[in-house]
This record gives sequence, C-alpha cells and structure tokens, in this order.
Amino acid sequence: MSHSSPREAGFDGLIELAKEAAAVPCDPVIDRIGRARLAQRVTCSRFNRRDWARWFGPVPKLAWAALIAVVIGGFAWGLASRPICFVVRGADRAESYVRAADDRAVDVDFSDGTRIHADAGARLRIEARSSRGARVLLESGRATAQVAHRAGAQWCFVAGPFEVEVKGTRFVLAWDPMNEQLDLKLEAGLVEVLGPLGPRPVAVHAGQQLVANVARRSLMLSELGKSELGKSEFGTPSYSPPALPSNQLVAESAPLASVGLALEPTGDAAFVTEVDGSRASELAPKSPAAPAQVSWSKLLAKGQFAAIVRLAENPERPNCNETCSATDLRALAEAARYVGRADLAESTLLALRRRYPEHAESRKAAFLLGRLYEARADRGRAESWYGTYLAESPSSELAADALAGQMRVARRARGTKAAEPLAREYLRRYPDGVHAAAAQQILGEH
Amino acid sequence: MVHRVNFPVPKSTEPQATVTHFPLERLGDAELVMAAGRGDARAVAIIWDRYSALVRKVLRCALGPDSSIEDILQEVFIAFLRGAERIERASALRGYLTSVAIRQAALELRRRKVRRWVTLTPTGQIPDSPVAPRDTDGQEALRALYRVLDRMANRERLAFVLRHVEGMEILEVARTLRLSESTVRRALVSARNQLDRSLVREPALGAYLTGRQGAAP
Repeated sequence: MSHSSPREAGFDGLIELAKEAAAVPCDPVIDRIGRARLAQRVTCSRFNRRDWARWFGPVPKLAWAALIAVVIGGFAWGLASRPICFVVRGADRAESYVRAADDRAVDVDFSDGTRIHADAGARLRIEARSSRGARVLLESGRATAQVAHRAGAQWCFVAGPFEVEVKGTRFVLAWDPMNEQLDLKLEAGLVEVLGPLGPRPVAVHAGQQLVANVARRSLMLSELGKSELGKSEFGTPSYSPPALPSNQLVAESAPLASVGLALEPTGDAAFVTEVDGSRASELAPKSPAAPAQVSWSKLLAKGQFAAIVRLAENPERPNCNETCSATDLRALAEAARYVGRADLAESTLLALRRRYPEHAESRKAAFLLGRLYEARADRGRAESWYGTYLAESPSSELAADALAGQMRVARRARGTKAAEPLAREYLRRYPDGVHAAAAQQILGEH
Repeated sequence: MVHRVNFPVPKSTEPQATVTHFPLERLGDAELVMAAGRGDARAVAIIWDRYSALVRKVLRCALGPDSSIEDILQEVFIAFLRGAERIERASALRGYLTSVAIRQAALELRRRKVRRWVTLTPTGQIPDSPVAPRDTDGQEALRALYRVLDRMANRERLAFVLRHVEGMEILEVARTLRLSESTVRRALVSARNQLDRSLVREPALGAYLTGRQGAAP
C-alpha cells in the first residue's frame, strides 16, 4: 500500500485502528443474551404491533397530532378553569361560611390575590366560586375588600338586595340588616351597584361613598374626604357609616362635594346636593375653549354632575338648549336632576323633545318628564308624559315604570277607581313586576 | 377361453410420509425476512446470528466505544422487524440492516447532544467501555479520534466512518445516508479538514499520527 504523504500514512493507521476496535469480537455470552432478548421482544411486540395497527393504523398522523393537541388543550383548560380557592385566617371556617367573633377580625385570602378583611362580628358567605372570581354574600357587618385586578375578573359582593359588581378595586362594604342600610366606600377602581332603588346600576368611582337605605328608599352618593381615603388598611376600620336623615338627604359630612338621591315612598326620585365652591371650581372649565373638548356623557359617567351644569351655564357659550346634541342634552338633564336643578332638567328635557322628536333620547325624556312632574305633584302633566312615553315606547325597558307611574298619579288625582284599569293592565303585562303589589292593593280596595 | 388371473391385491395402507421442516439456517435472506415478517422467532434468531456482528461493527464505527451499543443493536433489529413486511428487496438484507444501523446511530448521536445540553454527562457520552487497541497510545488516539468526530455534524461524521472505517464506496455511502453523491463528497472533504485542524487540539491524535509517520514506507 503506497501513501502519498507521511500524514496519509498516519491517517490510514488511525483508520485501521478504528477498524480493529470496531471488529473486536463480541463476548459470546453477551451475544446470546442479546439474541434471547430480541426473541422475547419480538414475541411481545409482534402482537402489540398488530393490535396497534388494527385499531390505530388507519388514523393519519395529523389526526393523532390534533387529538394530542385537544388533550393537552383540555388539560390546560381544566387547570385554568379550576375555581379559585381561599383560606380563612382568624376564625374557624365552616364550609363557605365565615363568622368573625365579636372581638376579633377575620381575613379571607383568595388564591387569585384578592383579600377580604371582615371586621369583628361580620358574617360572610362565599356563595360561589369560579376561575374568575367569587360571589360573596355579606350577611351583616363590615368588610374591606381588595380585589386583585385581572383580565376577565368577575367578583360580585351581595349585601341585602344590593349587588356590587367589581373588577379590580379596593373598597369597604357594610351592610346593616336591621336598618337595611348599605354603605360602600370606594378607595380605588370602579364598581357598579345594582339594587331595588333604581332600574339601572349606580356607578361608584374611586373616592366616592354610596349610602343606600332600602327602608327609607334613599340613596346618597358623596365624595370622600382626603382624610378618609387610604385609611382603610386591612385590619383598620376607617370610618363609620353616616346616619341618614329621613326622606331627604343632604350629605353634611362630605367635605368636598356630595350628591344625594332621596326616593319618596311613592317611588319618585329627587337628587339634592351641596357642592362646595372650591370643588365646583375645580370641575369647571379652565378656559372657554375647554367645554367643547369635554364629553358630557363621560363626565356624567364619572359622577361630575356639577361640572356639566357649570359648563352648560357658562355665559360664554351659547344656550345649550338650542345648540347641544341630543346626547349632551340628555347628559345635562341627568346632571341637572342629580344636582337638584329641577328647573334646568325640565327645560333641557323639553328642549330635547322639541329639537329631536325622533331621537331615542327624546322618547326617554318623556318618561323623565313624567317623573319630574310627578315629583312636583303636577299630576296632570305627569300622567300626560307617562302616557306619551307608553305610546311611543310601549315595550321598552321603562314601560313598566311608566305604567306604574301613571297608575300612582291617577290614584292620587282621581281616586282608586280611576287607577283600577291601569292596575289591571299592569298586572296583565307585568304579573311579577316590582309594582305588582301596589297594583293588587289598588284592585283589593274595591 | 379366457382365464382370468386374480392377482392378490395388497392391503391398502396409509402413506407413511415424514414431513420435516426445511432447516431455516439454509434459507436465503429473502425467505428469512418473509418469515421474520410473519413473526417467526426462529427466523429472527437466524438473522441475528448472521448479521448481529455486522451491525455491531457498524454501530461501533459510527459511535465509537460506547457501552450502549448492545441496546442500540436491539433497537436496530426491532426497527428492522417492524418494517420487515414492507421490505421490497428482501435479498438486500445486509444493506438494509446497515442503513437501519446508521439511522439508529444518528438518533443516538442526537440523543448524545441532548444529554450534553442537559449536562447529564459532561461530554454527552455514556461512559466509555473498554476498547481493544493494541497499545495505550492507540487507545488514546482512538478516543481522540471519536472526540473529534463528536464535534462534527452528524452527516459529516457518518459519511466519514462509512467511507473510511466501514470501507464503503461513495455511492454506497450516499445510498445508506440517503444523500446525493456530491453531498457525500463535500461532507467527506469537510470531515477530513476538521480532522486535520483538530490535530492541534488533540495532542494524542497528533502524536499518534506523527509516530506512525516513521512507520510509513
């Protein structure tokens, strides 16, 4: 064998070395073991293979991949959809019921990071849990909740007939079952409170306090003072619910601004407010050009009612009743009602009816005018506007309330007998409506 | 007059035939593969007897000294048996088993890399089994050679060992690795260049080659 270079000779030698190493005879014992092992595997795997081939051979690989993906996805979904869990610290837990001793507070920690601090004597029930949140019933007492902000979070706190829908927020909730009074102080975030005192949820924003009394049919939304904000750390009760005067509310304790809503026993509503001058000036526009930039609907959603009224009454801008859009007119009317400016609300609603007769907001304005005149005891006009609303929107969301309003006004104006046809009509259309008892009472009197 | 002669009729007897199996050892590869495809364990054993040494040698060439060779050998035969019913040219069993062995070796090389990533062993190799070079220098040189091969891409490594250690022709290497001939040539050149460059990093290999230079004619 000839080599072209010494390096090639060394290379060939190395290769020969590898060949020799590879060709080293195998130990006969190891070889026999391997042979027997293979025979055993063949005997077992042969039948296994045929079973597999018979049952699963025709299934395409793509179908297998899809099946595996479904299984893995299902497993992941199962993990993700597991309901949150919780631990109770400071009290014995009986299933989902949490009872704080009279002299000791209790903390409830949820797996999603939400914490509830129940004051001494409070009673809680974790009614339902899901992967997104829980439904917590506050039977009595006061609880401070810090709800972890998560996408798709669904937390609901129930106190008596009220439901507080929560996303991510921090608030103090108190419920007095004896006096049927709800007290909600919101420190951060936004919640919506749905209850028997209004057909729509009441939005409560950070720094606001909502006090609602079912027995008195009163509802008050007020601004919290700086001294009250940030004091409700867990384990440190920060405030006492203010006592509500009967029939009509004026939030005397609110240092900045307060807005109250009193519902008369008949069901009509009137907001009364005291607005501190400094706060109102903060809400007022800084320059004449600013108002056009601000959406009144957004201000309304933020509870800045006084600011809307100030903007509308700004002498430097044209008369809103003649120039504003239907949406702004509706926002102004709402804001005017909330701050107790019934005159402004009336003129605005009438302007809305006059300028936008075909607009949906105009139809709602008829109902609000009925309410407004009913509150003023102007029964003739109230009955007329309720009738207008029912004629224009016979099956809308407020039709039941409009019919009930017509029924109440007719009874007061012309007696029970005049209200009977309306009561019968109400019971026919809304046998389970909230005013069914009043209708039956009218019919029962004869 | 016709005389009828009655010849005695012999008693009817059942044919006494003895059926014996044809010795499987004498069967050709094609018949053995068919029998193995039907699950005949004896045929499998005979194939093992005929080709286990060959496959073991291919695996040793491809992987170097490795204690897992016997396990990989089992996998080669199991893989062969799984596809035995679909083998088109059963007579080319030798080449087929070599191809399967190379595929299993490639799988093992990939597994080694994974083991190296997860640092199950520092080098990714199963601890070496004793090898049988003639001397200590040769043993060291052989280990160095496989360290160099470990650093190569699988394609270059397998082309190198099939061509040089296993002694296959380039066309045969291409068929075994399912590559084109030109790709195999490029892989061989690249492997050889890497081997030459590694002499600096592998003193044992360099010393062995230098020592052999004197022995060259």
